[in-house]
Amino acid sequence: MRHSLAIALLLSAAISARAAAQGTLSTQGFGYPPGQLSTRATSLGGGLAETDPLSPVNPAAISDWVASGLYLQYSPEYRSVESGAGSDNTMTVRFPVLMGAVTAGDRVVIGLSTSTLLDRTWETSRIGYTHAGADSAQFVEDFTSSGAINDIRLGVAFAITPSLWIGAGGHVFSGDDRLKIRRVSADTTFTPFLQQSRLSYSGTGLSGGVTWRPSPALVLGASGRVGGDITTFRNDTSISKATVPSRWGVGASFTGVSGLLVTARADWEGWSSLGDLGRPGLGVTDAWDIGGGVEVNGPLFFGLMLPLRAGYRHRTLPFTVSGAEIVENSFSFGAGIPISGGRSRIDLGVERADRGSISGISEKAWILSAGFMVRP
Amino acid sequence: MLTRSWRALAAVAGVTLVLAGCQEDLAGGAACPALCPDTLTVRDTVLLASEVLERDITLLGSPAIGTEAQLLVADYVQSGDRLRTGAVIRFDSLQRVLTDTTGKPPRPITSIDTASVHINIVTPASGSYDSTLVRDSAVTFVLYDVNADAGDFDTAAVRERFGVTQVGSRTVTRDSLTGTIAIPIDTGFLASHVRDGERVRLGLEVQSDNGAQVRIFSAEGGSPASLQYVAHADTSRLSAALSVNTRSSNGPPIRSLADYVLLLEGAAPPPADVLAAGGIPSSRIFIRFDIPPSLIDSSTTIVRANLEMHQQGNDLYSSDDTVALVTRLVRATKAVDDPAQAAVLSVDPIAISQSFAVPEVRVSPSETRVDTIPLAHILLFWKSEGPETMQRSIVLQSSSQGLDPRRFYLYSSDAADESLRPKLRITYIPRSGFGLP
Repeated sequence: MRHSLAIALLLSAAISARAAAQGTLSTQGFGYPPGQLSTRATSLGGGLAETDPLSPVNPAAISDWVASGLYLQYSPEYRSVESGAGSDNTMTVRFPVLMGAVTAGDRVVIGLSTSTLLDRTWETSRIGYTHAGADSAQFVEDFTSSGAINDIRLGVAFAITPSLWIGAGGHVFSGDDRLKIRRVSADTTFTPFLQQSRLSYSGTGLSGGVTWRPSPALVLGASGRVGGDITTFRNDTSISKATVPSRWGVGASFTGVSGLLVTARADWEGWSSLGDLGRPGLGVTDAWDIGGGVEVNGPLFFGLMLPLRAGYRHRTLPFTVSGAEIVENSFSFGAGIPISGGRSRIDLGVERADRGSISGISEKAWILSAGFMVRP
Repeated sequence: MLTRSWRALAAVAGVTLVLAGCQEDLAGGAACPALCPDTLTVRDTVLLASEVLERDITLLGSPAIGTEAQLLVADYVQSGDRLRTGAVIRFDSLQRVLTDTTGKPPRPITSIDTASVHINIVTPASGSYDSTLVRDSAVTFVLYDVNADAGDFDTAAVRERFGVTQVGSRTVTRDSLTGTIAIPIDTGFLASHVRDGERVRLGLEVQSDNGAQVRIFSAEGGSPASLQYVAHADTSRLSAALSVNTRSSNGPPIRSLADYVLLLEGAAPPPADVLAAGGIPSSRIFIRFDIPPSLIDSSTTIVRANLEMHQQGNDLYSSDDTVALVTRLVRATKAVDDPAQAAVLSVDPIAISQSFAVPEVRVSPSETRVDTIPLAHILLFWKSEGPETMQRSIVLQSSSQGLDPRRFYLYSSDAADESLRPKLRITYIPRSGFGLP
């Protein structure tokens, strides 16, 4: 069983579809924040994030790993953008969360995770004109960006009492972004133009959190992160510096009704501290992320009981378009498949996101998600 | 239970693989320009001749005499201008003795009873010689003895010998101008040269009442003229066939002078205040650039570079037919300072890469206009090679140099009117350091 699951995970990771997008609402600025949520938490509208061991949000929640294990998540996004000029459909591949945890006795759990903070993967293709003296020549420009800022966290959860855990995490924010502009003109007197650039990021942060189970049916969680410096480099030259966004959030999960889980969360992230990382005038705003959902015992699937999930989430994306904030509302659904007596699990989810209408442009997306959690 | 888990796992893994295998549609840009970044700045600059040209001169007699692949023998009038050219074909080494397999020593040739010069006709692009090339129904090839006691490059002495001593001729109908044509020559003339150890240098002309022009292959063209004769020594007989060849009385032979074209009557050399390309004898234009390093030897990307040359209408031999102004790339290092030597090392840019092709400027030399020569790919090549490895020079030549008397006249950097001097119009994109949103 363990062997077969490992093969499935490796196969999933090895198939790396090329990611692309176009001028979109969600990939402005330094990119789209997937949310650092597990498939299960995503299916529950993010409500479970503060108490979910698979979401690298609250370091105290690592405690719920109970046993050592690994988690990998695959989340392709099928996005459509509509404007007065037409519509585009793209698919972006993400592996937004990879996590592992080990237990050290009954009171300590250590977790190491990497998750996508901001995904700046897109591609635009447009037609324009180069003006040279009295002449003008049409060109086709392909502008590609591929990369992300990732959050690598080493977290420790410690049990004060069996129902009260605290956690702390050290964060390194790293990643790179490979950009390429290619212009080809129909006028053969123009040579094809190609310019490439690579940005890399390096930053730090600290996080802390607590989970408290005041009763068997209720779990509360709260966490926060303080951002350190983050620097952008081109080659080895520092070109901009800012502060990693701080965040804090609270959440609760209630299981007081048999076969039912109700969960909710509110999260605030100070994205505006990234303003100095970009060029002057970069539109970035602090943002709330509020959501919740329910999980019920569902039908049997190959003889196994499937938990079914549904959620709703409302949040503001960090980067604005001409000063206008982009709000994302999403409905999500999912299910979990326990494997090996519940020690391991596969979560499947689907999210429908609507990113509003800005300047006559609307964006919608289907985000599929598959999370593989293995605990030997 | 375990079996059920396996099945569930297999089902989910299958779905995952299907999802992972999907490929996206690439960008469409429907939301552009509202959401698409525009990070590139395109700039345009015009570099005047004084800023960008280190040297621009006419190379008279370039390519050098004798390097023609085809030899034009012509005598016609076009737009009131007469052109008369002849081909000089040299047989400096002749077979003068007869050897056989009997073991006897070589015996001197004593007589010749049949002799002819064989020339190989170049088929025109149209497929045959029509009335625009040979205006009468027939054309006569005439051979003269043009041997002169003069240096290899003293063409004036050779020119004077044309029309003096005729040693052979043959009239050929226009329709028969194809393949190899044998022109009988005086066997007495040849026999005396063979016996006396003298060289044979012949001048070939065409004669036609209303004008004719015929091209024959040269040694450089791979199919040179030959001299064939039947010789006797005692009772033995020999058939000899010799291709054009030459020797020099002082120093090593200049092989290209085995055959060449000589202008017998035509236009005067181009005036000194213009750049000239084409004509007979042909000339070429050599241009060496001094492009500011901030543009070419930097992170700036040049996306277009057009050399603008003002063409001065030249009505000599005026015709509606167009000729192409062709650009060649000089592949010499900076150490080769002499333009004439550097021009010898010029190549068609396509020989380096198909992408370096510079379109021809196909136009009539009689037009007054601005010729635009796109050099962006050449500049990119120069940039990649660096300023020391390759000098930044080009050669402009006529597509029919040596075969068409028309010449392009282009204003040089010394033109009295500054607006007529060459210019290099460059469109470039500075290194943007793009990437930050």
